[in-house]
Amino acid sequence: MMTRFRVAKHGRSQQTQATAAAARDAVGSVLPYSLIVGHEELKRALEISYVSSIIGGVLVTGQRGTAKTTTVRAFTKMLVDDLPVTLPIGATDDRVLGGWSIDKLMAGKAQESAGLIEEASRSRAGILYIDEVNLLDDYLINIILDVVATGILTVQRDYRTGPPQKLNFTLIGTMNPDEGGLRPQLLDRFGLVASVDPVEDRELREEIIRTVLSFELAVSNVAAPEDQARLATALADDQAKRQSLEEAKARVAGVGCSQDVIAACARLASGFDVAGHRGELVLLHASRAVAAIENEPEATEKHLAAVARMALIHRRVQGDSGTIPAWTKADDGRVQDLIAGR
Amino acid sequence: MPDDPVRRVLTVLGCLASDSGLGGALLFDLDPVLLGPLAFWMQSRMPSAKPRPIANLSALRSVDELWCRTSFEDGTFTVNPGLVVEEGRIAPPILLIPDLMRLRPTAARVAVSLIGATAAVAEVADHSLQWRPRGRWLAAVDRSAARRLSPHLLDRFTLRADASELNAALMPGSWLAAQTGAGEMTVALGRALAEASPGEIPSRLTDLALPPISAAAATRVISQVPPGLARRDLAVARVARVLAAWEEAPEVDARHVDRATELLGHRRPGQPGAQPAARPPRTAPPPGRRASPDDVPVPDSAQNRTAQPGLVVPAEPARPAGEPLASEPDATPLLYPEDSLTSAAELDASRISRMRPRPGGRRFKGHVVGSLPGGDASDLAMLATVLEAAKFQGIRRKNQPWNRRRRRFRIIPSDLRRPRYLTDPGDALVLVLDHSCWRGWNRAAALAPYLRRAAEQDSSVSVIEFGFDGARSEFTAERYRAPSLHDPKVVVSLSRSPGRASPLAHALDLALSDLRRRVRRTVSPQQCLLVVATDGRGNIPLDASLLGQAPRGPTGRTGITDAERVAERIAALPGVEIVVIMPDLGAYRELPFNLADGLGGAPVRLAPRIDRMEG
Repeated sequence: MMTRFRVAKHGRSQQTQATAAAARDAVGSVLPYSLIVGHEELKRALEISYVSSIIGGVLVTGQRGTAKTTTVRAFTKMLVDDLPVTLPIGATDDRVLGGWSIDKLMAGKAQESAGLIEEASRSRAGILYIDEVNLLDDYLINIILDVVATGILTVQRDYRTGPPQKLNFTLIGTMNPDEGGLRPQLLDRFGLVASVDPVEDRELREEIIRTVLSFELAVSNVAAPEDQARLATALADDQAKRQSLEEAKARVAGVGCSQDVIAACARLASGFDVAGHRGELVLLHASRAVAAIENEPEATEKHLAAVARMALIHRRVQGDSGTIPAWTKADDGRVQDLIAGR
Repeated sequence: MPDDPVRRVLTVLGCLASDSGLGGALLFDLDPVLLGPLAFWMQSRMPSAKPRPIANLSALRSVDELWCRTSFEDGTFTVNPGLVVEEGRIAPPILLIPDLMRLRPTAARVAVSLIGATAAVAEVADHSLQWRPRGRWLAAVDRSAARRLSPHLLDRFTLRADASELNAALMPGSWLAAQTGAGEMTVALGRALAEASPGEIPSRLTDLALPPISAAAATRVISQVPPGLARRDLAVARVARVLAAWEEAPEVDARHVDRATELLGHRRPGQPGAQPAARPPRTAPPPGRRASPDDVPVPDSAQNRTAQPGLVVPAEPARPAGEPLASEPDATPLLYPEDSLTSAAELDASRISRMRPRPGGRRFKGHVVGSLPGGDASDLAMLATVLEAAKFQGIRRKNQPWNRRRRRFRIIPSDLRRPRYLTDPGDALVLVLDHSCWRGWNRAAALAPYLRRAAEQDSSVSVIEFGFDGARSEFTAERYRAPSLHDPKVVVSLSRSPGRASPLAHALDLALSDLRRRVRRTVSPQQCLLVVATDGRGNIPLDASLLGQAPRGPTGRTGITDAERVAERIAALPGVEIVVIMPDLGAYRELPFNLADGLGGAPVRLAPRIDRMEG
């Protein structure tokens, strides 16, 4: 006995309007980047990774309730007034790599459907965001990190045999280290690691409360003039930040790097027993990105010192437990010594 | 805030209804029959032009229904947004979780990503949807079990209330006996709730004019809530704002903050029983675990330990119910079990009965990694099915002239495909062997029952060893995996000569990563056995091992403390049976027992060999 199926159309144009409105509502509810309190290391890592996408993405580690996701979304909203392309919970490889449009197949047409990696590459922000990346199945994260590293996506499955595609996107992953780590081979694929700590300073905590509640009133259009003014200022600050990052992105290729700095990168990688060569390359590119952000023509030891922790903290791990050892003041001192050639 | 339990719970739910940013409310020891009426009470005070659904997540056949729902009616196959997706056609839903302990791991991750979030993303039938979650989550949990839940999940429920007295308050025994049907009961409970509603809760809880918060109120919040939990700071501030809105105050002041703090169970400084804000060291032991019946009997040679065979002895006597621990944080510990350092359960491995089928529910079968022929509407791999059918549409239309013009997409039973699930890794034995402490002991007899069991069950084996002569590095543990105990490497590991250093913390860290991988893939409970053979004297800090370097400077107790911290994380993993085999060394006797307590494992102590004693 045959069963008949057909796809029901539910007022498609109305659905599109409703979903577009819901999407705008979602973007509008994200806190402006310039109103994010604290998290300076995370913000710097995101900016560096955007300015120099060759660095290979950012892994954000921190306990629950430390605004990791909020900051990443605020960053993307600042850049392109949209949410980042996000890997959904329970994503399978066909969604990541791409497949066929089910709607079109049901209607009898074979139309390819881009995967999330391709969507991220094509998006204006060029960001693929994975929440709780340490809980993702290994084979999925392997696929994604392979594309991050090589910049090439080749899909040959489900009767799709397309040519290799060049893709360029920034991978941002968040994780709570209490829930487990990533294997060292996967950790190494992330260019930078930014650690986010709970805010304990009283003044900062108060500022968070006042900022969030003021923002919520402002977007609900029932706020006092001062709340509206504060929001307007924040949006203007975001626009200025976006402009400066775009300019930095445009000039980073022209930022120079002296032999001294290059040698210091090598000393740092060697001094911290970093396996492979990705570490020193990230140090170099990140230094140049910082110089570009600060509108300086050449990367110096000052810029290198500013990125050393983020570029090295996860590359020191020996063995395969996935736990990232703590970075101490002694490590900060070693960075200074190694840069200075002591 | 008065102590009336009904008033307190309804005020909490009223706040949730008034501010979607609060996300979720968790009710402890709530009688399940009350959850529905409470949800209807909320719904009645949240009028909307669009229908506002109330959805019970325990009735899900599949977690996929949260994101999209498929149906087949009158020859039409439709895909619609699921229970949690708010795409504008309906009002934000009220989502019920009758027992948070039984929430499936995938559903728990959905809850974590949505509750209190400002934005959400989902994929529904090729459409990418984004929305601002405004749904209200209402969950109940048994207080005694809640400490085993992931702090990540608990943290999302910023509103908490003790609902243990609600049942008796709303339904006296004789009145309860008079209700004969479930429908009657629900109606009667709804009436009782409406009558019990405090006057200060408005009849309409949505679209309120929320006032701004004063600087003094913000300062007051910080003084009440322990540091390090921004979500709680905001929850107290939001509740204060709602309370101010209910009384139409022009701004939120300290008085509202005090009421909010008391409502949410955060004690204020100066009140009886108030404690300093600093987090206390762990004082309460983890739940005891029953050891294998094959254990070697424990000789009673430990100080102050009455080692009962097969049971871990708690380090401290149980305290009377309701009495706080000596150095607890401000928040009422019963409402915030995640504040206890012993609550280290992980989000992806929360204690959920995956094997116990729910009425109308589907057993968790594992992660999907592909598709196979076969399947039915309850377990269908949709894309694979459609792809298979797509191959033959041309032929089918050619042979069905009556269909050519209508061009329907035809799927026949042989096209159906079902998901292929990740293979359960099966039984596993994880052996942590500290070779540094076994001079003069034959631990073979103690290990024998576990090795025998692993051999009988054909368990895969993971061996983590350290402290032996000839180790690659004396500062790190080494790990290898063997398909079975018959692997020659395992035999070698069981007969090593002792060394000096003891990177116990690193060994436990490797064991933790191994166990996590298995627990996340395991479908059946109780398939992992961890056997730790050690004297507990870890003398290498974990960070030194992770860096593969000698410790810098004196380490003191750092190695031991690191080991205990990792042990707590292992103890939080569900379905792992743990045994700690320890030599009776005479000195530092408490160390292996402390480790066993931290792991929640059964201690097995061995007396020295006769020839050593005589020597």
